[in-house]
Amino acid sequence: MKYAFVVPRYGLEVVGGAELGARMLAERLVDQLGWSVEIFTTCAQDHMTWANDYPEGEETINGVVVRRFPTTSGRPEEFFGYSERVLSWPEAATRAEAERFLELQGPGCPALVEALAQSDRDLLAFYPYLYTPTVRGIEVVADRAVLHPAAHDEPALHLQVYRRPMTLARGLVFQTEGERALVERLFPVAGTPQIVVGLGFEEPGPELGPGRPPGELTGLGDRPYLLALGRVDGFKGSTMLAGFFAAYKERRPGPLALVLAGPVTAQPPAHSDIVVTGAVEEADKWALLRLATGFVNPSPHEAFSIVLMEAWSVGRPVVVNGRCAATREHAERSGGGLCFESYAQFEAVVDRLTADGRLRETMGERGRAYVDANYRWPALIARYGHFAERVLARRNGA
Amino acid sequence: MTTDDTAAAGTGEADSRAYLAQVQREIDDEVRRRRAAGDFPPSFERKLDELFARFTPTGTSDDHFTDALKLADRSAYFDTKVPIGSRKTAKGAVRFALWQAEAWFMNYVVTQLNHFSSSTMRVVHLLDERVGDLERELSELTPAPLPEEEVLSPGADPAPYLEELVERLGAVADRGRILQAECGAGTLLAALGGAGHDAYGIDPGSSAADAAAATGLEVRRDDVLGHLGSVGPESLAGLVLAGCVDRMSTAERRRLVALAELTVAPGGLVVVLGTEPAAWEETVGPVAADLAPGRPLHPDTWAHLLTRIGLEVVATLAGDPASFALVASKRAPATT
Repeated sequence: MKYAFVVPRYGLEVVGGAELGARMLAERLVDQLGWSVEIFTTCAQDHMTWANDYPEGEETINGVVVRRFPTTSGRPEEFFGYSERVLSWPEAATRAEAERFLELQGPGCPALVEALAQSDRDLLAFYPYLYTPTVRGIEVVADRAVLHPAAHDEPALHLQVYRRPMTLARGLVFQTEGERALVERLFPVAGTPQIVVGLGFEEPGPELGPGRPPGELTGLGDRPYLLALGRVDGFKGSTMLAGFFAAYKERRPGPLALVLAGPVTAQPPAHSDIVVTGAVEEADKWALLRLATGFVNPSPHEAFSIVLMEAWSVGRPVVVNGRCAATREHAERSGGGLCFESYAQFEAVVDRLTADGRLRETMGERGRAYVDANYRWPALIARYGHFAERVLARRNGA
Repeated sequence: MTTDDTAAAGTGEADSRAYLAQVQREIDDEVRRRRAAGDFPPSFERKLDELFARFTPTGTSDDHFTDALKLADRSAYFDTKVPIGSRKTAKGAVRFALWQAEAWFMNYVVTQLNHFSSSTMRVVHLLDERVGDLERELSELTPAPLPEEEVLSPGADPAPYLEELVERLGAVADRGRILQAECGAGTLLAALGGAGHDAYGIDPGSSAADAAAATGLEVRRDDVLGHLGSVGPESLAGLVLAGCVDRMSTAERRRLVALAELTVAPGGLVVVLGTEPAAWEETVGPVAADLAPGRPLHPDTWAHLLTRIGLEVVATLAGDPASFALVASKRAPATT
């Protein structure tokens, strides 16, 4: 099989959910199934600017051929005001307004779209639905297109500009049942071949090393802590979590701390019990996870959340934002996570988790069993490969 | 059952859901207890819940309408009192003077804006009340079924019709995909796939369907009406209706027929794989048959329903006295 992924950014340094998901799948399709996999992407590394940080051209990363094309437009200041206006009532936006939103959002990359049309790939998987390479690219290779929407219930999904790529794709790959239900509610795609596959996961091997001791890394010594991993910003719920935790500590003075580990976009207000580490090394991340009292994902905007799988794989209980369909689905199906939708619930959840060791242990075990049953790479890649072959067979009329 | 009891239960998905629901219930009870005890001062909780709302999308799904309404209520008041900081500093004093100078104009405009927004919000609340009343009335019209009203129908066995259905559906397979709803163990899907046709199935969740999916057949858990509502118009070459046709209510059946007409391509086929009513009554017994909200229809009745929406019945197959397979075709547009 000659396969390709089309993503707006790609590289070892890119940690965004969709881009990381594409990289993990691509590398394992090469390793496990022996497929020839190429990546069509831009030279951008930063999705806020789409600046051409990587050189144009071809390189091979972990067995995957990466073809980069320069962006011709970034994300101007005008985008933020415009998107706020258009997304306040997306269903009412005209086609022209939706197109304008798409163009301003970027990345503009006509060379990438031209290259797709020329490519010899049997199938091209677009990932995620939101950006220009997907919307423009599917138009030119519709009969070979597989779409990983990575959709969640956000205003942009309701813009009419996304209807065509959703309906043109010959195969749809969803990360959760909730995502499938959402997309089917908004677009007439139930008849399209599709699969709910999520993302696979594996613990790092011993070669990664033990990482720095969390107490040393965070300066917390042997104090217990809740851990949140990923981009620290308002959109991802970090600002809200920091506010909730500060209020919690006013009412529950004690040793418990909160560690926010990940690249910082919006620094939360300083607090003596909240540690913001910035981005951490992989080994340090695992060390932090292993010793956390619990793991918190406060984001309402998740399409899958690989960090939940990471936390469960080391037996940590998790706490999620109950308004996020994807993480809520994982928590409910696994029995390994608790949800909060208000401060009062957050406080009761944290009280319960910190006081009840048996509960922490049981939830961690259930989470680990859930990961083992659903999200281990070998079985997942076999399912994905079988699905892609079926889509290709349909295309070839077999 | 306590949390410890549920913790000791199995680790399957149903057990996990039950366990989590139990813990979450205990947490919600604790929240209610604390609120009743005055543990959360209202202004404290309001401030934090506003923080939650600011970073959480509300109103993009139907699940949190009340929260969306609360958020709209809070945003519907415009305040002319601009924060100016301390009037003792030079900057604060300038800001205060500017605000006072513009206050006559701002107050005039903002009063009208507040009047407009409060009237609009009142209308939204009235609509909310009316929709709530309608929902309550609807739920009273469709009470939860009694256990004896829940007739489990295994659905007709496709085996006696396999060969002919595969041949007939195969003849139109170039028009799109073939969908079997509900597909059960996937016997017909496997036969269609074996003949090289592009077929998939849906099922609301029988263990037989799960087993069929595990063999590599494309089978999804979905309900028939919801699924057909999200299938593209005229995108199916064939639609095989099984299982559900034996138990649907009159209203559901009408919707099913309309959706079948909408989703099947011109020249495509609709197949009703149904149970003969007499055989069904014999199987379920008189009490269940009388109380059932829906029951199997005779093949003639299906033929009537399908003909009414413009389909042409091309065959009624009777390979088994307990069942039938009725095949109807959607006319292709005349070619010149």
